[in-house]
Formats: sequence, C-alpha cells, structure tokens
Amino acid sequence: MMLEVKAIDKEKIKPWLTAMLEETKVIAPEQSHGDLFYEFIDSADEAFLGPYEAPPWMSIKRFFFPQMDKILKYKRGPGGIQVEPVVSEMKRVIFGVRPCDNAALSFCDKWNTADGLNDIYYLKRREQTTIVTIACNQPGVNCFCVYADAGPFAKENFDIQLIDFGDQYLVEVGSEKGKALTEGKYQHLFKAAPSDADKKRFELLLESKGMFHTYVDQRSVTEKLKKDEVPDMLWENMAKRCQNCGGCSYVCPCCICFNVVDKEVSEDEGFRIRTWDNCTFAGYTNMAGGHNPRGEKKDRFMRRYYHKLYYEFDKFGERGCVGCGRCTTTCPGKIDMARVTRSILTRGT
Amino acid sequence: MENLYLPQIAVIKKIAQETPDVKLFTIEFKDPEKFTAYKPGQFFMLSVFGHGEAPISITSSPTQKGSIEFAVKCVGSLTAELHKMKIDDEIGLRGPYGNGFSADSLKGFDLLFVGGGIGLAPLRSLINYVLEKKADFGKITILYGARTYDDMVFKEELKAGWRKSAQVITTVDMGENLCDGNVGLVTTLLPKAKVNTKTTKAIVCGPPVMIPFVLKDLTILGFADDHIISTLERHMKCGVCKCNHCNIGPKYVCLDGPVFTCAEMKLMTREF
Repeated sequence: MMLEVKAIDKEKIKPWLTAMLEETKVIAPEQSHGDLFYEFIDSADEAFLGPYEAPPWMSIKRFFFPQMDKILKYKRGPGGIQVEPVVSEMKRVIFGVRPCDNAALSFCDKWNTADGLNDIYYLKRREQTTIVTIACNQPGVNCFCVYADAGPFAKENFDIQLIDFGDQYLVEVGSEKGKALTEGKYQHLFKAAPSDADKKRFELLLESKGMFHTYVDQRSVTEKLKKDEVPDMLWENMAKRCQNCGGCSYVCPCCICFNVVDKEVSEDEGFRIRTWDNCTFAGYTNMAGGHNPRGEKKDRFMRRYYHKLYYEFDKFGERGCVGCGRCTTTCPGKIDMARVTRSILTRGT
Repeated sequence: MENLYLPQIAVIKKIAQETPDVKLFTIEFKDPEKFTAYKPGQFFMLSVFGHGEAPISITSSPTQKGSIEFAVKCVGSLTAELHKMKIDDEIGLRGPYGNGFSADSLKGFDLLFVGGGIGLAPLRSLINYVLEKKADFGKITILYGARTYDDMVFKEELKAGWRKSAQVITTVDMGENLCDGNVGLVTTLLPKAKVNTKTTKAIVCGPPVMIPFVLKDLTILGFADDHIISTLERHMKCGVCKCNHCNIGPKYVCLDGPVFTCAEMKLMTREF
C-alpha cells in the first residue's frame, strides 16, 4: 500500500538528514574501517549513501532486539521484592534500510505478536521507529533476496522507500509515520515524481532482479524437509563442518531466539537480562539434571534448517530467511543457507 | 499492553522435605488478587531473583484454593537456590502456562497413572483432582516407581491417602521397598495392574529414559495411541512461545504442550 509517491534530488538527502537529526535520533549505514554498519549518526556527513555492493555487516535486528537487553529490574527492600519492567523510550529513524532487513522486520513482527502474545519490548521499539528503506539496484554477490520474496525492492511494511533514479530518488511513502517525514518542515525538500516514474521503476526492478549471482530454491527445500527426504548422511557431513561459533544466527536478521539470565548489581538489586541465543549451541536444550534432547551436533544443525524453512513456514506462511546472504559471508564451514539448500537439492535424493 | 515477562511476587508459606533432594513448597501470591485459576498439568515460570527463571509444574489440585504447591528436585543452579530458601521468602511466578490435562476428555474412563521419580509431581495435581471428583471417573490405578525407597515422593499419599479410593502399586529400582515390597522397574507393575485397556486412559510422566519404555509396553498391552497421555519437559526461557527453545518438531512444549497424547508424540519422530 502506497500513500503517495514523490521525488527528492540527491543533493537534498543531507539537508533532509540534518533536519531529521534536529528532532530525533537517526541510524544510518556508516563506514568503519572500510566495512559498513548501521550506526547512530551525529551528522548527515556520517551516513554512507552508496553505491552499496552488499548489505551492512549486521542487520537492524539489534535496534529492536538488543544483544543484551535489560527487561526487568528487581530490588529487595523492607517491604519485600519489587519488580518493575525496564522499557526504553526513544524515537528514531532508521535510514537506508535494505529491503531484506525490512522484510526480516515483517517476519519479526509476526513472531512477536504470534498466538495473541505480544512482546512489548520489541513492539515498543518498533512503534517508535520510522523505517526508510533504500531499494537495491545492485545486489551483492551473496544476496538472494529475490528468491526469498524479500527484495530487491521492498514490497510492504516500510514507512518510506527510496529508489535510486540517478540524480534523484523516487520517494514511496508507505505509512503515516513516513508521511510525517515528508511534510511540514521537510516539505520543501521534495518535488513531484517524474512523469515516467512507473516505467523507470519497473525497468530498474527488472534490471536489478537480473543481477543476482546466488540462486536458492527455498520452496523445493521446504517440500523435501516436510517429506523427510534428505538423507541423514548428508546432514551428518554438513554438520561436521559446523564450528558451533554461532556466527550464522548472530548476523541473521530473522534469528530471534533468546536466553534469559539474572545479573545482580548489588546484594539487593539486579536486572533480568535477555540475550541472543543460538540453536547450534549444545547448551541451548541442555536441561538441569543433564538430559539434552539435542546433544548431537547433527540434530542441532538439522533443527536450524527445519526451523527456518519448515516449522516457521508452517506457522506463519513465511520462512525465517530473507536472503540477505550474511550467513554465507560469515560461516567458516561454508554450510550457510545458500550452500546447504543447494546441497539438499543436488545431492539429497 | 500486558508485559509477558513480568512475574508476580509470591511468598513461600510451607516447605516439606519430601526426599533427600525433593522439597514441596506451598506458595501464595503476595497480592491474593493475582491468583489465577489453573488446570492440572499446567506449569508456572518460577523466578528466584538473582538466579533466573525456570518452568516448574504444578503439583497441587486446582480444587485447593488460594495456594499452589510445587515439588522441586534439586538438580541445577536455580533449584539449588530455591532449596536454600526459607518460609516467608519471596519468589516470582508467571503463568499458568501450557495446555494442561483435559479433565473432560478423561470423564467416564478408568484411569491408569504411571509415574517415575519426580514425574509424579505433575500427575499428583490430576490425581488429587480426580479423586475429589471420583463420581465422574471409573476405577483409578496409580503405579509409581522410584530409584530407592528414600527417593519416593508423596509417601503419605502413596501409603495411605490414595489407597482409600484407588489401587496403588509402587516399586523401587534398588534396595528395600518399605511401601509395598516390589522391586524392579515401573514397567514390571503394568501386568500387575490388570486394567481393561479398552475402558482405560493412561497418564504417564517420568524421566526421559522411562517414558518411551512405558509407552511401548502400554501399546503392547493394547492401549490405543489416543488413550495414552504424557507430559513432557524441555529447556524453556519464556513459557510464551517467543524464546524458541522448547520445540519438538513443529510443536512447542510451552504452548502446544506440555501434555501430548501418544498419537501426537508418534508424529514427533525426531528430537529437533
């Protein structure tokens, strides 16, 4: 659903960001020693506006689901124990979000509201955030969002989407929150969309779709997993290469498993903290008393792929992979989503 | 919006040493208004502040108003801390969670309870419930196995209370059984129970090593898969299907379970 379509000259992007910074926190891709990360910026000059070749190293997951998040504070006093929630209040704009990360956010929205049970820590942050995506005209070498139905242009759930038209961006406004960033004091920065915008957008999308190097047929893999058609030996061989490093889920924008621990700061006070967790760690399912239903690496490795490509698809009609290719970049054992799915389809019978 | 992870403060009112490593805690909510009705087979996320949170099954019958009982075995860091706590100490509770046993689906049937070790804790909630509403159910049989006589939980009820209105047979893996003399695994009690498999539903809970053997023997005796019910446990961090830890295949123990029929468990062919 598009509310309206406008355009903005490229030289107006920095004044736009500067105006935003006057009233809200802004997160944008920023270069650090040659690598790209989404970071809080203090001035428009810090934002890296492309050309992009691959998505930033880490997704925007951490701005909604921090790696370590204090969720409760408890205090012992004369009247007993007091527990109160720790909820962060911070309005912000995330600028330059890649469509894969935006699609992952739609997935996380579903997970965090599933079964009528709402995770307020996630939703509070979500509510306070405006997402400005930037469509990908040049997918990276490991990208395969087009086969995960997540890109290269965002289809929904963005507040604003920018599409690179050369000397200007097409501005697609997707929500009221997005509209607020193009009106009022921002209005003078924008102009009407070019008359051939639709045609040009279509051509750019087609061109971008033709530039992917990595092909992943998730649909066929889901079918194979459902029918239990992948030989155990293949899983075993792939799992042998897993180093239990957790890198895949660390960089994955859809990996939202968590662990919960208490941390005392004094004898009478402490926090309950939730942290990222990883399903390939042996401790993930280890129970007090020593029973571990997934003590074998192979089981944990299989579970990762069954969960992403089958169980989550079964539950929401969406897979826990948006094709950002970060696990391909990260995995030292070369058993990432792209390679595992390819092995399943070529070697699995 | 309700905060899923915010526990209510509860107070330990009574502690009974059931076995050398199992204590029975009687807990009341600090604010009695926070007490919510629960079903047998459900569980609470129990917080020991400073040490974390763990899923603990309810062992009291829902007919017991105002307080909740938990039988906790000292097996890990959180349970060790809980065992150090004293009367009037405060803990946190979130819940109740899980599907619980469906008492309605058991009405009119004879019931065969098979428990092992601390696995009797969730069964006791249902046993006490059905014994109070005895008219709704047929013949009740309770089979229980523990490692040794000392490790038997709820000895009073096993020896006397339950025997008034149910057939109770116990066994121990080793040593002397001062309860009724049987020594051997709990599966050796199944032929002794002499139940009519067509009119009986079996409810099983015990350590992970016990459950598959009991299910197999019950099937051999002639129990239909949907007449065998078990309750499972998994490592769990949230209890509300967000943390992702407790899945067995596409099922989540926190939300879809912890109570499953043998028919459902047979679909869980693999442990991932």
